[in-house]
Amino acid sequence: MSDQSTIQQAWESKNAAPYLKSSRRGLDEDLVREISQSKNEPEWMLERRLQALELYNTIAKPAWGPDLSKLDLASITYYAKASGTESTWDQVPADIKETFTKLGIPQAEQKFLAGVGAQYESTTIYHNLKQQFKDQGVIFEDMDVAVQQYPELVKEYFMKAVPANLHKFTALHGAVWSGGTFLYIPKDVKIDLPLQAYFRMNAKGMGQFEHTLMIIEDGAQGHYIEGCSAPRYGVDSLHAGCVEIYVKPEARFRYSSVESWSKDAYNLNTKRAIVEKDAHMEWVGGNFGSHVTMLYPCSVLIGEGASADHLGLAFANSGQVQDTGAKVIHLASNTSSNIVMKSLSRGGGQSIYRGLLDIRALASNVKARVNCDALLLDGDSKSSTIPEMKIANNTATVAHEAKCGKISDNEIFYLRSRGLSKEEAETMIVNGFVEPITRELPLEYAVEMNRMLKLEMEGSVG
Amino acid sequence: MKEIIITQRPEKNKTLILDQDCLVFEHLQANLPDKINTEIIVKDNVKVDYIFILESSEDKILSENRNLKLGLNSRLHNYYFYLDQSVHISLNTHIDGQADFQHQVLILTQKKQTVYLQENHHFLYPKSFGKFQLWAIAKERSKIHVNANVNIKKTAKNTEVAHHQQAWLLNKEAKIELIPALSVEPNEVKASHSAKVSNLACEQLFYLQSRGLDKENIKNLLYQSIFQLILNQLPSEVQRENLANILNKYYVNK
Repeated sequence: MSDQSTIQQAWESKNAAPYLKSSRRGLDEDLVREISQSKNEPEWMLERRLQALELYNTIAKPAWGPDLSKLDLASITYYAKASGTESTWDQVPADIKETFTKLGIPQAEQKFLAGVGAQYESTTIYHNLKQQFKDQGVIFEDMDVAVQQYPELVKEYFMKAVPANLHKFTALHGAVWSGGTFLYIPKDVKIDLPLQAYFRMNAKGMGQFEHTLMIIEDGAQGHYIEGCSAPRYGVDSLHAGCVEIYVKPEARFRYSSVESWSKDAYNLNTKRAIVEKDAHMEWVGGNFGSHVTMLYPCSVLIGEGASADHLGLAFANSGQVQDTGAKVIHLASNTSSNIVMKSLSRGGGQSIYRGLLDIRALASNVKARVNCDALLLDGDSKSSTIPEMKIANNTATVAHEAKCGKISDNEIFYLRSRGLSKEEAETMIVNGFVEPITRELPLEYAVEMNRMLKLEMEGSVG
Repeated sequence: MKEIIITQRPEKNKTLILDQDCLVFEHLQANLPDKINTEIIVKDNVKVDYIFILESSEDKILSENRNLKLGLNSRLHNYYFYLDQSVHISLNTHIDGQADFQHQVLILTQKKQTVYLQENHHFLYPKSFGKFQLWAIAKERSKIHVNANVNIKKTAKNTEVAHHQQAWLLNKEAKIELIPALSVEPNEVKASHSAKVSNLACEQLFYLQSRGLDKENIKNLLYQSIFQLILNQLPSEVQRENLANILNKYYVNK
């Protein structure tokens, strides 16, 4: 993966966007029809888009959470196609390829990934899966292609876990979604290397609405990593993606993501997994970028013995609001869940943990635990924790704990007495604070996350 | 320490100004008005222990808005009991001075009772101390909903807050919803919160049954242990006895 200065350069690099000439701002029915037509979609998908558009026009923005009043939805470019999809990097346009090279994607694919999907603006520009996995029946495809090639599978699952009527931004997503990843792992197939997708916004005022749909069949295993970034222009951009994961009986799946959208982006993503009998789902996430993030990955445990782990890290720097958390809904008996959330705030940033643990009446013998800790790195920042626990079955055992404070003066003193500077000492302590999250990532991504932390910490006084 | 006993039917709007060290024993029972608004002001340098018991088997929902204001260097230790009654309570506390505020709540519900408790505690002054403890036991088809927000404002540096909630659901149809929210603005604070919901632990049940106790007696032991935790903290022997007599009927005969 890239070193620190290269990462920064990669995030901030801006390519020319001549493709914007054939795009426009704002959303109406004509645009939705154009999107569908340009993808040559079947009639059923167009109908779903139009139904979603109707919902979008009627549902209000959420009345809770961060202030979204300044998000001007009429000034967003909802669809812009920069390039077609290629299966080798040599065929990708040079400027786009250079961006992804700076981000380390082609190098990572060669060294340690099973497959890679790269999205630039609204469409996937590169998608590839190593032959050994194709031979086992694994499908790892651009979502637009999957709609054409695997229509029955897609139709069965598309926007069922995350319906368009869930909230305004799932309705928006349903209307204008483009690109994304389709993953299908057949029964009992275990993919021992991670698959990666990287989502890059380039142009000013851009919106990205990728759809990720994953079906992990009985007994299968896999690990998927997602990264994303965008350069900063000082005008709003919008990310309202959607992730749906179906973890079938006895399957195991891990979804990791490291989000570093530019600090003028609104990141309003919706992620949900349906976990069946004796299956296990893991969410590992790091949220560093965006001006406002509202992100609450959700696990719905519908099968007996299902379990879910949610590990998350949010860093709210100056001008940022990280409103993140986790939701677990226990519908079946003998299910368990574990949520560990870490948040850091500095420079006036606000971090909010917002969680829901919902144990329904028919879910007996549920075990659930929530642990959320917050570190305030200076006196200007703010941290809030709003954990909601709804328990309707008396056999459940639920525990929640949280701590909030600043870096201990004693710890700083000790490390400085060992020759470290104040900044080095603080960075070391922060790395220790977030270690329960970073250790769950593959080594290369853990190193990258630590580098991102160091970037965010630069200038931190504490 | 002066004792103030309140047992009469309250006026709908009541203000209680506490300007000397005292123990307040407020026990409200039958014939309660549907809605009560109460303001309690603890003056600077005053220490108050406040025992508030709301119990009644009347088949109606009582609602109360209660506002508390604490002055500089004051101390208010609350012991609130919501017993065998459907209530909607909104409690707002403003800790305006360097104060010691402890708020302990016990909720017992049964049948189809509903307790809805909305609490907002605002720390506005540096070096204050807050301890919040909730115990809740829901039986039969009752429901308990507690939304407790502790807000430590920017001006309240070096404040220390601990917020704990523990609940037991003793029957299959009982339900509970807990939101122990914490909002912190200054970084020089120590704040923690925790919540736990469970039934009687299998191991505990097994152990006690193996000692000859039946399930009803075991539940009584649970009640007794929680009551003792609270009673041990009361400063007055007399009020400890009064309170024990009130609480005893909740586990002796049930």
